[in-house]
Amino acid sequence: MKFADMQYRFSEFWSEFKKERSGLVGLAILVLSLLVVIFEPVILPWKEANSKWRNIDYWQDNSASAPPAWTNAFTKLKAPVTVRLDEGKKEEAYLDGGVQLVTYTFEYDYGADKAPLDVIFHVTGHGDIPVQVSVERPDGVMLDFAQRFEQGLAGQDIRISLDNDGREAAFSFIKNYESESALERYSGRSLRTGDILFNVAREGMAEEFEPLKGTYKLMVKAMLLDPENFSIENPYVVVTGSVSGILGTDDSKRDLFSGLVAGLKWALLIGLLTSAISVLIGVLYGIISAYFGGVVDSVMQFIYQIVNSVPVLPVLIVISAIFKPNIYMLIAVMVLFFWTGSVMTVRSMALQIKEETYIEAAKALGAKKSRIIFKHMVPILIPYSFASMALSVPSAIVYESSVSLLGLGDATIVTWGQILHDAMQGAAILKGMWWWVLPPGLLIAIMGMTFAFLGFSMDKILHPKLKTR
Amino acid sequence: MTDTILSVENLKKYFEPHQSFTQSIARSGQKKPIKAIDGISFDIRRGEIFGLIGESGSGKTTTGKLVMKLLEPTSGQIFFNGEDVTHLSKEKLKEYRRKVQMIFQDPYASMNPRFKIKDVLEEPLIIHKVRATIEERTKMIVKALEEVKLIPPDEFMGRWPHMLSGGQRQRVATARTLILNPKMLVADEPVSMIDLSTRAEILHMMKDVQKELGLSYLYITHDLSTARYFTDRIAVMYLGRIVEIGRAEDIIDNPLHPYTQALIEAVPEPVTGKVEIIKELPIYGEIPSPANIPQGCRFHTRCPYATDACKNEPEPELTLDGEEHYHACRRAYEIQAERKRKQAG
Amino acid sequence: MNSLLKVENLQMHYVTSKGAVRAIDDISFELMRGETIGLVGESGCGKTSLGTSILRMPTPPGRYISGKILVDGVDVIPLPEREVRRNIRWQKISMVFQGAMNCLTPVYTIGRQMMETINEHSDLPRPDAENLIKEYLGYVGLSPEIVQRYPHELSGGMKQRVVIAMALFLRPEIVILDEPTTALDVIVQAQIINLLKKLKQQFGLSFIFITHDLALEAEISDRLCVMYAGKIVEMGSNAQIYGAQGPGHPYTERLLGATPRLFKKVEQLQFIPGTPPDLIAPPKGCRFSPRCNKAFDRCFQEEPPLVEIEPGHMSACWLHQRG
Repeated sequence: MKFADMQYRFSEFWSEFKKERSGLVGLAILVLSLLVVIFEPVILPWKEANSKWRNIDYWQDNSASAPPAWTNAFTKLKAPVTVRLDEGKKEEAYLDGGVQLVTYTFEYDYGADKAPLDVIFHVTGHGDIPVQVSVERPDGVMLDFAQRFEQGLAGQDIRISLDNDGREAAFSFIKNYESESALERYSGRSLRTGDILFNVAREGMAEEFEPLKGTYKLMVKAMLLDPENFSIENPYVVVTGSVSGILGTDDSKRDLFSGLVAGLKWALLIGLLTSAISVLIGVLYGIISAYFGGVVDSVMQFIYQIVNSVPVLPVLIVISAIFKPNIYMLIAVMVLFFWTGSVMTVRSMALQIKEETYIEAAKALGAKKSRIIFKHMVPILIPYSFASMALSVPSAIVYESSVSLLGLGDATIVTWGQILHDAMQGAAILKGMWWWVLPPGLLIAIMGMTFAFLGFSMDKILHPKLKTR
Repeated sequence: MTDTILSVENLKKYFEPHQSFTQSIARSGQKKPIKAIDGISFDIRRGEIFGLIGESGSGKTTTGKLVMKLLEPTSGQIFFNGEDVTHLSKEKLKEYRRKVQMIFQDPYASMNPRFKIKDVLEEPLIIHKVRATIEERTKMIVKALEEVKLIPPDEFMGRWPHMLSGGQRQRVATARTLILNPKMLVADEPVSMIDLSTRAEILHMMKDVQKELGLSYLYITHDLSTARYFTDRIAVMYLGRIVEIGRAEDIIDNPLHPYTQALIEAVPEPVTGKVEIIKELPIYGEIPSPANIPQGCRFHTRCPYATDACKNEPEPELTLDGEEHYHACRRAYEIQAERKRKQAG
Repeated sequence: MNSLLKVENLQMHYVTSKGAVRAIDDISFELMRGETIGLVGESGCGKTSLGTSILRMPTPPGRYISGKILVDGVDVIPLPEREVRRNIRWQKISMVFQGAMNCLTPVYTIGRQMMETINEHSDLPRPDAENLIKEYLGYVGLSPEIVQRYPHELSGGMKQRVVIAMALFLRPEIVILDEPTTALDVIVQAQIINLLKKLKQQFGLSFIFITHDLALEAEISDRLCVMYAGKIVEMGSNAQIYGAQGPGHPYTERLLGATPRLFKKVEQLQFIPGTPPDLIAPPKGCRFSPRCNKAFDRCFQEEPPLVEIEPGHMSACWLHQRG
């Protein structure tokens, strides 16, 4: 019975809601957001963006301050995109003494006009593993870069970065083409390994970069001195380009798209939880205040006025500064102040309902006050409270963003406000890193707009028809 | 008298007007109380339909609310079935509510628009914790619907109030009162907001129900014509007091109080020959405010027969004339004689 | 010109998304100078719609479909709004609406509201308008100092008198009154009816008096139009319908039978079971036939026309017509 009633009421509501264009837009965006949150594990390029946001190691292979990859479409000189190569061809060779040589070869198609910033090789090792990395260029030159002998590995990752570890080899290569004096002339300019490795070999290569396009073979060679007990696995190579990701990276090499997607669920959580709880409290408060009237009403109104006059943001800031809160504490504090929002309207509505004949009839039947409040008054006002909830979501999101902007947010999660905070700290605008500032700001605005649309449309339909005719 | 189901003695209800804190301290600004009911007494007999007639400001609705205990009296007593029910504890009050029920004037507003008819009728059962099982409750609801001739009951149970006509809603309202087997019903203008041709139907239904279940009614209305048709005895109220009380035909055929006489003359009749007549009513001006009750006989300011005595001497009490006819006018017989002369000459 | 108002075959429907509600379905009648016609019927019969239609103000989504409303020989339906407002409404025909006393805005004084009405419909200079207001307040029995009061300070009866004054002061010949006494007590109602009768004689007014109360109708109307489901089912003089002969239509008969009487002991008040028909798709034949206890075959097949059954007395019923 009850479910059928709800269905009926909902279908009535829906036939009205369908006509509200702004409401439908809001609903569409909300549904889209929910889908993103649900499919987050699939969508995220960097799976552990949320928990490892402040973990430097996690992002170490990424490019720093890189614009989004698609900006390449707008520039004449194409920048290389950061890519991770996982598919390596494995070759095993056996040497004297029972030593096994394992080679993983990765193919990298280089077609950009600018040099990649780095090539980073990874392999996980068990035991004592000497590792060497080499690159075969399209022009046939084979360069051996770095060697490393890691001992006593038990599943740890060996990381070799050409930019860090391969400079010597790169320089000896370039000396074949440039004289000592030429190199000295350009010693002021720092030549990276990438600028040499991907450069067409010729005189003058130190002065001007000419991309050597083609397929590069990137090789990791490991010697297993004791094939029985020692092994390697999980090899991959990251070519660090100067553009990266769907929305670029910040100066700490963090992929912003991942950060923003991870932040979506927090925005929704903060918004919905804060508004739901505070509106429910506010509605009950308003109804009780109106129904009991007299002294109870006066006292409740007094309390309401005090709480309402307290400016929320300064309080939030102070509490965040003292207690270093987590997100749930922030929500609790916001609820503590947000409940006042719906009280006045609900109270006036409740005052009107109180005078209705059917309330008097219920009293005449012997109904207790609690029954009248919860069975008669609350059901009439609940639909309106949904609209009220939708309208308070934007405030909650913005408050959290403000708190985070000041650096006082929850440090264990990533929210849009925090991203903005980092952008501010990193002087993003000064550096022209628009991809760091615009997307989070826009998203906060869009999320606010979505709930405002939803809220206004719902309010129009669900505002209780208090006249019984 | 064991024959009496409800007895009201010298009931008064004064309302204090709303004052601010400072006003109530400064005695100079003290407003007068609104004397909605200023000392009324009447009895309702078992199985009787008792009409309370009055215009707005007479206090009839307030009387109904006092009887229903939706308001507490300022002074006086109410007896129900011989028991003093003037002030009741919570449990006793709940018991009382099972025995005395109310039908309201506005069929559109007396039911929560979000309750289905089934919920409307179930509510009294829930409040009074009657019969736990769903089947037994449903049976009671069906029985109540059949009692008020809403057939088939299943069809009506699943509907919302806005899907029913005014007359049907009043039937539901009646069913709601019957479901707890009350002894008395207070009906406050139950048909004034319903179409003319349906009014009789509802009154019929109420009369049938009354006979079948042996109920007593307190029927509150301003419409003297329906009162004649529907009630056994009536009491006429003016400005918080009863000015005349007795059998309906007696009062209408032989009204002894000038106010009743004016009321009767004011009622339109569907007969021909009235269009040319501009009959001046035997009553002056408008009803005074209940905060400013005239001294002496409170009707004297509007009475065409008032003398100095009416203004200066204390208010007349109800006096008996004949079997059951009481009136509160010191000049009743002189006025009666004068009217007879006017009619003859 | 003795015929002040002539309604000819008027059709006015409410055009809704579910279909056209035939609120006024071919109505014709004539109002002569100095007479009061009563429009009687229950809720939904179209009497209020007829009132607003005559004033050229059908409630949206009402539309005139066909027919004429002749005021002094001129059809007002096709006239532009400006002309209706300046020449017809309030000058020739005015209206006292249902619940009129609630039409007074609580935030302005009585005087201000009355002045506003005058300005809307005429070019009277201010001092003349003020005198007019005081004059008419006097006619309805109110003291001129009322102009300074606010509506909530007045009683129901006083407010109704104000509204009646407002309907009269531009000296229309026709006043439409829609349930003018519904919310009033019976003594105040009688006083207002007396006032209306006096004003009618004093100013030679003609009234269209709309109500559902047959008893009230009998007090004030010379002639009577009984409406049911958008049509006139009976029309005749007060004497013919309330007199010895009685009504010429079962509906009127039943309505009379349902009216409680003060001086007659009525054993059984009559009632009419069922509800009025759906005006979007009215039933075939006579619209009253489903509820009529005297209906026979023809009633369900053919709609009876409104014909004269005796001089000045029309009825739309097969029972009273031969052939």
